[in-house]
Amino acid sequence: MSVEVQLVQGPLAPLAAHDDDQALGTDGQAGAFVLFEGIVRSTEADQPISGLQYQAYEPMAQDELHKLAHKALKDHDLISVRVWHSKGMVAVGKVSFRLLITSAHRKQALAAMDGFIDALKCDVPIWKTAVYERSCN
Amino acid sequence: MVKVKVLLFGPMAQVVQASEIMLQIDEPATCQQVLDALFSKHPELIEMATGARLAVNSSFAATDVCIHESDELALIAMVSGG
Repeated sequence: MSVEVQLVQGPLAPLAAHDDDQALGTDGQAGAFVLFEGIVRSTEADQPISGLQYQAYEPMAQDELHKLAHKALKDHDLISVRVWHSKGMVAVGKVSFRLLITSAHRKQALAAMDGFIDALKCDVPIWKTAVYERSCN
Repeated sequence: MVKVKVLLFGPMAQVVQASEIMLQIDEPATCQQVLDALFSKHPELIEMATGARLAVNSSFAATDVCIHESDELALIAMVSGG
């Protein structure tokens, strides 16, 4: 069982092939690999935006993400939980959040995914502010 | 009296236009007293702070936890990560 948490300045880079390999491991125990990526939408409250500005209260944000990941591991009998979250500016269309879970069976990973994201939105001190596009008028 | 500093983030900091607030609390000071003093000084936060919790030294703290001047306090409300 393993946990990895990273707060990253700016948008998240695309998932690399070695991240897939690392998540799956080499012991053949993983039967499910579930990946969620949060992408910045182009509007907020029906207004066009250029991106989202994320502010994290560190190191508490790191600690809370670690706690959630370890709880998910235990509650759902997972193999690994890896989470990345952006801080700072993330432009529209870019990835600001990634959660990668592996487990022996799909139901464990899918249930853990939903629960983790719900808890994140309650307990992890990260805030986002919309950056609106400048009007040309 | 205990002098404490409460950190604010996100929309809470925007509405108060400050990232930290200094407060003076009667001893023995608890988290609930800090919250009461904060909302008394900045009532504009009350509506936004439904379900708000205080973090003491980067961990969520119950309202009856005693605080000291050297503690780092932060108001955690309206988080919106993900």
